[in-house]
Order: sequence, then C-alpha cells, then structure tokens
Amino acid sequence: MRRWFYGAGATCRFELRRSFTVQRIAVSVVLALFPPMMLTLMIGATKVAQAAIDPLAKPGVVREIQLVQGFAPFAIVFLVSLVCLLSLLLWATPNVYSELEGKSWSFIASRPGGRISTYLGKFLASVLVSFGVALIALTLSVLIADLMLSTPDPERLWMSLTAIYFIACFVYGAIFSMLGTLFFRRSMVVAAGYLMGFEVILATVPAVIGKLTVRFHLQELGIRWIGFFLPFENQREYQILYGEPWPTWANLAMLMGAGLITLLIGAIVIVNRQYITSDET
Amino acid sequence: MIEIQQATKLYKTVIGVNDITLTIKPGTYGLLGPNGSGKTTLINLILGQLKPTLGSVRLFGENPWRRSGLLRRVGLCPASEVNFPGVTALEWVTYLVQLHGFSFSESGRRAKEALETVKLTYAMNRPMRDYSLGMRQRAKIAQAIAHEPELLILDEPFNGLDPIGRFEMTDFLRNWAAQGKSLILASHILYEVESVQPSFLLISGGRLLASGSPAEVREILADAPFTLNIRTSDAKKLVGLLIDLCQIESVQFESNESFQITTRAVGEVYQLLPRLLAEHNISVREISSTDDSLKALFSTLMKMHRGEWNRGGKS
Repeated sequence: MRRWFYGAGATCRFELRRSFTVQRIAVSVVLALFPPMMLTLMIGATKVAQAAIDPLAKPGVVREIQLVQGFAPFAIVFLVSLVCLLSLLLWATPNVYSELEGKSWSFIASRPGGRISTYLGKFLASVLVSFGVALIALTLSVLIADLMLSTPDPERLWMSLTAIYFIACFVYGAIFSMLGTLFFRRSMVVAAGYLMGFEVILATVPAVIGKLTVRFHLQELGIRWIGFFLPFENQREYQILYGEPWPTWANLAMLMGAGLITLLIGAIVIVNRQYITSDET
Repeated sequence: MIEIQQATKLYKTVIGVNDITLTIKPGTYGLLGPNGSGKTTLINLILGQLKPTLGSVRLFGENPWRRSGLLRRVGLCPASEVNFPGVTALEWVTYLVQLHGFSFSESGRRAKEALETVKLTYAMNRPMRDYSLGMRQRAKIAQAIAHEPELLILDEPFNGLDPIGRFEMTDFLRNWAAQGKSLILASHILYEVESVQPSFLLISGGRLLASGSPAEVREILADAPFTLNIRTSDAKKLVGLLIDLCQIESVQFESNESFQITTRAVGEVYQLLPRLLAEHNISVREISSTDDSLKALFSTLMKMHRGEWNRGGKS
C-alpha cells in the first residue's frame, strides 16, 4: 500500500512535470478563460440590446438586468461545468491509452504496483489540473458577474461552487479513469457518451433512475448551498417534478461512494487486464 | 530462477508462444529469434505482464502474474522507444525508480548512480528530445538497473546503435555478467548476442527450437546447409570443379557468370576456392551469402523440428 501511494505521488508529479508544455498550458488557459469571456459577452450583449431598444426606459433596463442577474449563477455553473468536464475528459480518460500509445506502458507495468500507482497518480493529476482550471474559471466568472451585475452574496456563491467543483472533479475524474481502463481504445468517446446519455439525458428524467446520476446530487448540493439557481419558474415546480430534496449527508455519501467504487473498479481492472503493447511479438 | 511449463499464449487466434517448457537458472542467456518469433511475448510472460493461456510460469519460484512484488528483483529494458520530449533523463529515471517504492531523494540518488554507470551523467539534465538514439538507449538501461535488480532483461538493446554504441553496450553487458548477475538478452542478430558469451535460447514461430551453449550452437551451425552466391568469369567451369572436389548439395545457375550453390561444407569451399581460381585462371567478381548465420541456424532448426533433417546431415 505504501508503495502504491509513493508511486501515485511520483506519477502525479511526473505527469504535471511532463505536461508543462506550451500546448498543454495553452489548452488549460483557453479552458479557464472561456467561461468568464462568455459571461462577459452574455451580460454585455443583454445590456447593449436593452439600451438599443429603449435607452431611456430605465425601469425596463432594470427589469432585464434583474433577469440576467438571476440567471447569472446558472450561467456560471453551466459554463464552468462544461470546461471542468472537458478538462477531465482530456486528462483522466486516456490514462491507459496514452501509455500504450506512447510505448511507455512496459516501463510502468514492469514495476511492482506500477499499474495501480500510475492509475491513481494520473487520476490525482487529472483532478488537480481540472479543479485548477475550474477554480480559475469560477473565480473570474464570479468577479465579472459581481462587477457587471452586482450579484448578491458573491462570496457564498464562490465558496459553495468551489466545494461542489472539487467534489465533481473527484467523482467524474474517478468515473472517467475507470472508463479509461475498461475501454482504453475509445475511452474519450465512451466517456463523452456517458456524459450525454447519463448526466445530460437521464439526469433530467423525473424518476428514480435520474437520482442515480452524479449531476442530480451535485444539483441538490447546489440548491442547498447557493440557493435555487435552476431555470425553472420556482423551486416548488422543480420539487413537484423531482421530489423532495435528499439530506446533505445522503447526497455527499452517494457522491463519495460513486467516486470510491468507480476508482476501485478501475484499479481492479488495470491490475488484472492484459494490455497488449504494439511491439508484442 | 525461471520455470516455464508448457506455456502457450494466444492472442485470440494468433499464437504468441506455443507450448514452451524451459528452466532458466541464474546466468547469462541470449534469447534469439527472428522478428515476430515470440521473444517479447515470452519476456512479458516471465514478468507477469501476460497470463499464459495454457501452462504455467514461475519467476523466483512464484507466479509473477499474481505477485507483482517479484518485479522489484527484475530490471527490464523494453525494445520500445521512450518519447518524453520535455523531460530529462534524470527526471524520468528518478520517477521510474520511485515506482519501486523508494523515496524521492533515494530514487534521485539511485538514478544518478545508474546514469553514471551508463555514462550519461553529462547529459542527464538535458531534455530527452535532444538525445541521440544511443543516449536514449543508455537512459533505458539506467532505468532498468537503478534499483539494483538480480535479473536484467533487455529486449533488442542493440537496435539503432552505431558501432561505438554497440561496443559500449557489449562492454556494459559483459561487466554485468562478470558481476555474477543474471541477464537475458533478446535479439534477432546472432553476433550481437554472441559477443556477451551467453547460453542460447532459440525461439521461432512461438516455439523454443533449441537451447544450449555457444559451442553447441556452433556445432548445429557447422552442420547447417549454407548458400553462396558467386559471380565469376566462367561459372560453368568453376561449378564443375567445385562439384568434383566438394560436397555440393545443389547448384542453381542465374546467368553465364553467376550461380548459387548450397553446401554443408562451406569451410571446405572457402579453403579450396583460392587454389582453384589460381590454377584455372578464373576470376571471381563477387562472393556473397544469402543467409546470415542466424537465418541459416533457424532454417536448420526448423527443418530438424519438422523432422525434415537430422543432425549429421541427412535430409
């Protein structure tokens, strides 16, 4: 066990070191800047459009701005989630395939516990990088929303979403890492399919099955910690569809359980699977 | 050290290794076979990276598939090329030593020592993208020896090396063997492996065809039919003379000036040829062999294996 954790730390450190290239840094910067830029454009466009329609109709401007103000937390959550998941897709899913493709698998697999160390280390690196990207994107987005719209209680919004994104990075990172070991040749496609199928479509189904998705529990935490932010008319309407909220501990337990179980499944797969390298003769 | 009992490895319908039974005691071994013969598969079975479809493999008395801790006692230098453009050899070797469970500082110390052993200290802080093939090969050796294994396995270590690199590699391998440590050297080129004076394991088509000392292999080679291409001023006359004086198995004329002979007495042909050429005033423009020694050896072994040829030269 000690060897695994030493190895995982070493792998994480090496992964971060080797990714210190112009291309990889540029990708992370673009991902981190995308949400604040989109938010700026959205708020700016609303302001400009409203002013163009009736520059003197002050009450109308105030009403539209209030609408955008109310919508801002949802926009921030949507945009930052998008880049956070994209970053996890790029970092966590190719955990096995990148080693096989880079022909470095033999070097790793010929170490005692090398497979598990690499798996855990790469998971750790993907969580760190993706959380870093999400944190920068979130901080800038909250700042911009506050500067342009004077959103109420931005500190609470920032702190709540920071915690939610940390949990999201852990759980989704674990799921993507597991998919990377199971479907190593098409891991990114499978992970994207999982996101679309489960986390987008299934999570919107108002039934028990929808409550088995990660998004449902993250959403519940969001509603509790930052207030109702979803594009429904009101929270009552949402509750009629999706039922009464779960207790916080149950949401957290489901999320942690999902993360740990998928991480464990991936570890079992990577240890027991025979990955064939291209130079096998 | 290694016991393999009737091990077969199938990749779906393709046979990687076919019913190999083998015991390897501590020592120096050359695992010889043509490309695609199953050398890398056999190595991966020994290291527990692959599970035999049939049969069993034991490394240091235990099942390597179940006991990855055994890998602490083994160093592997795979044939594959490393491609970490921005990483230095010191960082890479340190990382791989850490995967053996050593602390960062201890791994760094061991990595530096190993890089010094392979004479790469001067370049260890340079990114590996700037390395020549020989330097990358030395870095690969360093990661295999840094944790001081009992058994070192090298897969095609001479690939792409220039003559100086080959000499240095041979020198290193001889020193390793001289320290009493075990070595398995996989290659498809006989003379490269011969230079380390190992016992041979000859594998082809996933089967172990033969194993033995260099003397035993040379004995098999001595009996092997050998093909010579000769381009001369008078092919017919020279062929007639050779048939009269040597044991020639077959002759094939390619033109009036060029022919191919197959003989088991190639030494005799080489001895006679200068005298015949001088006495009969025949000039030779070119003599070449279609077979390198390993090809001839494998061809002979395959015939023996199929029962087409017995030792002593009877077809």
